[in-house]
Amino acid sequence: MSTTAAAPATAGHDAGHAHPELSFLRKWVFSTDHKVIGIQYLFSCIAMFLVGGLLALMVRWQVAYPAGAKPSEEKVQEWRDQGLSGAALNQAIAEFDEDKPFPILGELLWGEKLSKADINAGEVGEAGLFGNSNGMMPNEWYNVAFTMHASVMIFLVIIPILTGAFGNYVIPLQLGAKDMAFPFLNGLSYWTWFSALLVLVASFFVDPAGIGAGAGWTSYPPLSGVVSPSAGAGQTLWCIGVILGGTSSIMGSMNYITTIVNLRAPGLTLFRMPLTTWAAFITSILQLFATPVLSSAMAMLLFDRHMGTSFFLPEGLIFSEAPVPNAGGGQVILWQHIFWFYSHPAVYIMILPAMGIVSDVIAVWSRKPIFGYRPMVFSMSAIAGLGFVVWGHHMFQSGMNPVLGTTFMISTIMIALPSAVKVFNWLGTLWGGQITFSPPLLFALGFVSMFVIGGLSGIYMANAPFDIFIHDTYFIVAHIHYVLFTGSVMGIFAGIYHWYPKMFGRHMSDGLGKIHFWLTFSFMNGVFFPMHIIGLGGYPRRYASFRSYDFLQTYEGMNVFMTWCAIGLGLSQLFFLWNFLWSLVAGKKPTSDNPWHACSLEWSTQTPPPHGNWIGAVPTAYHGPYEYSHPNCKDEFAPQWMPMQRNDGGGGGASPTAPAVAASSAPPTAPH
Amino acid sequence: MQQVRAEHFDAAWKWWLPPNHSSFGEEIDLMYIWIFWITMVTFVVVEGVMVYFCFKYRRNPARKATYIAGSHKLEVAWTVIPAIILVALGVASTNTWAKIKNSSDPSYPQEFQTEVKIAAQQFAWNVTYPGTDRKFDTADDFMLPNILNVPVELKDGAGNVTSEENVRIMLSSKDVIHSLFIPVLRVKQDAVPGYIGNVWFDCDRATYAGPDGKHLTGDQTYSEDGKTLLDWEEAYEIACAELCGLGHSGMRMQLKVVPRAAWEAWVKVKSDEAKKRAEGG
Repeated sequence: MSTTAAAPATAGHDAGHAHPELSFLRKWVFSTDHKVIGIQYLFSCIAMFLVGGLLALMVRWQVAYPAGAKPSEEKVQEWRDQGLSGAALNQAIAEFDEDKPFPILGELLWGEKLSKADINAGEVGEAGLFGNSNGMMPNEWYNVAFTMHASVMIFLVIIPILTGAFGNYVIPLQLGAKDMAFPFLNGLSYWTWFSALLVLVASFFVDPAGIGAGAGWTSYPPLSGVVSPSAGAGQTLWCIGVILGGTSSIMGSMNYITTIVNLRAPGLTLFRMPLTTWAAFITSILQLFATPVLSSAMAMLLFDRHMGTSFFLPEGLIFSEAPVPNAGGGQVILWQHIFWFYSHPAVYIMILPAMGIVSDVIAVWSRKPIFGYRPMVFSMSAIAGLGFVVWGHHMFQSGMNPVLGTTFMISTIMIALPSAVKVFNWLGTLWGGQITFSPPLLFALGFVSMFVIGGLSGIYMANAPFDIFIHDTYFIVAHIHYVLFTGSVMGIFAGIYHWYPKMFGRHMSDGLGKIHFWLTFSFMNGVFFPMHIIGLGGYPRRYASFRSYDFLQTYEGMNVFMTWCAIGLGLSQLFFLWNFLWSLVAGKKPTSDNPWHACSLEWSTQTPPPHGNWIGAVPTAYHGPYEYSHPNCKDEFAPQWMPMQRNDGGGGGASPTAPAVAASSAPPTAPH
Repeated sequence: MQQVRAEHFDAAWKWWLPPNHSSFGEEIDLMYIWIFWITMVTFVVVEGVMVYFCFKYRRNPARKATYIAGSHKLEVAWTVIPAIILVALGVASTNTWAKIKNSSDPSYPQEFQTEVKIAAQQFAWNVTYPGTDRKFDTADDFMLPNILNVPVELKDGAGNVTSEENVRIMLSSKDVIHSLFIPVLRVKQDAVPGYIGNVWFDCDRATYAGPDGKHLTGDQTYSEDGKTLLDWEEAYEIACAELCGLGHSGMRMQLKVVPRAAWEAWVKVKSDEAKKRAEGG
């Protein structure tokens, strides 16, 4: 196939061209170097991962320990046995107080915790940052907590870390490009995203009542479409933040598509690209088509809220006994169609890049070519294509025409196929390999094994009749977390451990990485697996308290268990954080530019790569990216950037041991 | 409430599902059991193979990895076999789906013995009964918040029901989207402002246990003053399943499934009250 233009002239990256020394600000802050931008995304996303995680813990705490626990019958009997009766017993019951504010933060945010006796005596505690509710999270803030947990994790962590951090850092290197096609647009994309981050964080603090955006990350109108106590100024900022995030995504995806189409190294045909880059390519196409729809939806919602339009507000809407003046002629369900037209593909935007990363990691660490490379590419394309025609499965119970429900059920069930094909191909890649259980591989295997659960639980919900029962229960919460946490986040960790030496010129600690993996793997199942079970019991999602329902009482113990697992999961990430930060300054330096003995082009350059990625000309790709353990190859692996050295002496070219890397037939050993 | 609660969690657990009391609920649960076993077998096989490969092909310097870049036959096999299973699952569930949701489908019930209107609002369900004349928008209509009482014909003292009686709910919302969720009947339908949704169900078990702990039988009449029905404690719970604002988790309604005679006596009392109010006002 055609070779693309060699060493394309991007932003003056001609070989040997001397750059004037850039100021610190231009080099590290407002940079146009894809590697710097990728690392900016990486650090920002890890910081936001902590914020999103903290919000998750607040959500979990509220679910396990909502206010208003009543003394159990056994407790009352105990009091009776102690001789309490009449007024004394009633007083004991009235003063019973097991409310547990969120540790440390609860009292800072929602005021001092006083005992019931003190409150009854008329004492008033000190107010917190968000008012005074005796240290306990009010219901409306619970809505904010889960809304912002989802929004932060989706728009500020998973999408930007996969497309922004890995996309930016890895794609040009795997392509043999000196930078992105549009370096300035790339920087602009990051800073637009960063402004989305600031706006979304500000949404917590703008409303005088202390309420941020609380209509759920799906923000269904009319709840989100009318200014009300449930959706105040925070909701407005949320819409603006999502538009900004979307704008950044659109800029980024155009850039990736152009780069992949135009800037591939000589010899690097599309079907010689590593799957990480293929996944980024397909994801970018999804983003480019889907994101503008979300941005328009957000703009329409803003107009409904503040400019008197009624895209989503039907006639006769009454909020708190008062008619909504601009309501009339709108369609509530229209929002859901538009929103899910973006947000279902968004799920694939969040999983496909992780699939790409995991494919590369498994191939490298089991010393095998990807089993079924082309079927892998085609199945990703099928997932992306089908991803555009399944959005209605979020709306089975919405009142949408039930005939459409049948159609969406079939298309949704079909999307399980390419996902299954991918899993089988990963197993095929492990088959007959030389598997080294390094942290990247452990996380990749974690991804595969847990993605199976997330995929299979999807079949339950794709089945429209059974979805009637589990729709909007904890079952869907379990499903989405198996896909996005035990799936995408595992993939992200695999990628970080895998490319860290290339990014920072240091190794992360293997031991800490393994501890991080096993703790994360255990706790995440402790958090998310029981959610399937309470979902099957009919436990509705987004409930601030189970106390009003008899049928939910039984799940209290499981909720407490999940909450403590979530706390364990949160603490386990400290091992990662320490490992990540400490290794930046104290990690062992790699002895070679290709420490994992990998074949794709990013390992052909210096560690870390210089500005412009390669000193001199970009490499040439001679074959596919997964030539591990080839029977006719003299060496254990054949890097893409040099012709394969054949056993029979054919093939020509230099040995992979020279000049860039030191390869040997021994499998790579992970440093410690 | 104790009795229904106990039933919910002890006796009728079926692979973690709560007990079911509607006819289509049985079909839904059967679908679940099929999917459960199909996915369980797949899960065990896939994870088993993965763990086996991880063990068998762990790094061993004495061996070289086998170069296998793919297999056309395998790709076809693991595409076609799941496709057949998945399509079969899809096709198998279309009838149940149509019967529950699609009012233009022949399997959708043609007759409804009881009809009520429910208008949801933040944070309550307003249930309007048509009264003794069984017609809406007449003087004997009455509205009760958060109480849905429906009649059945009892077969025995255990609360089992003789004939299927279909209840139809015309569901709407005044403000935001809510969702009517009756776990024990496998019912869920969003209440969408600007739109009337149809929900139907039948229920094969009454909620009322008399003062002696036994259910009334079909031929026992329940005349008294009809008001007593409101004091019956046992009820199925109805939840709101779509986030509707800060009171979402407290938007609870009770469903009482009671013998027809008792229900009619109660409707009469309520209708008379409503008529009196209409005349008086």
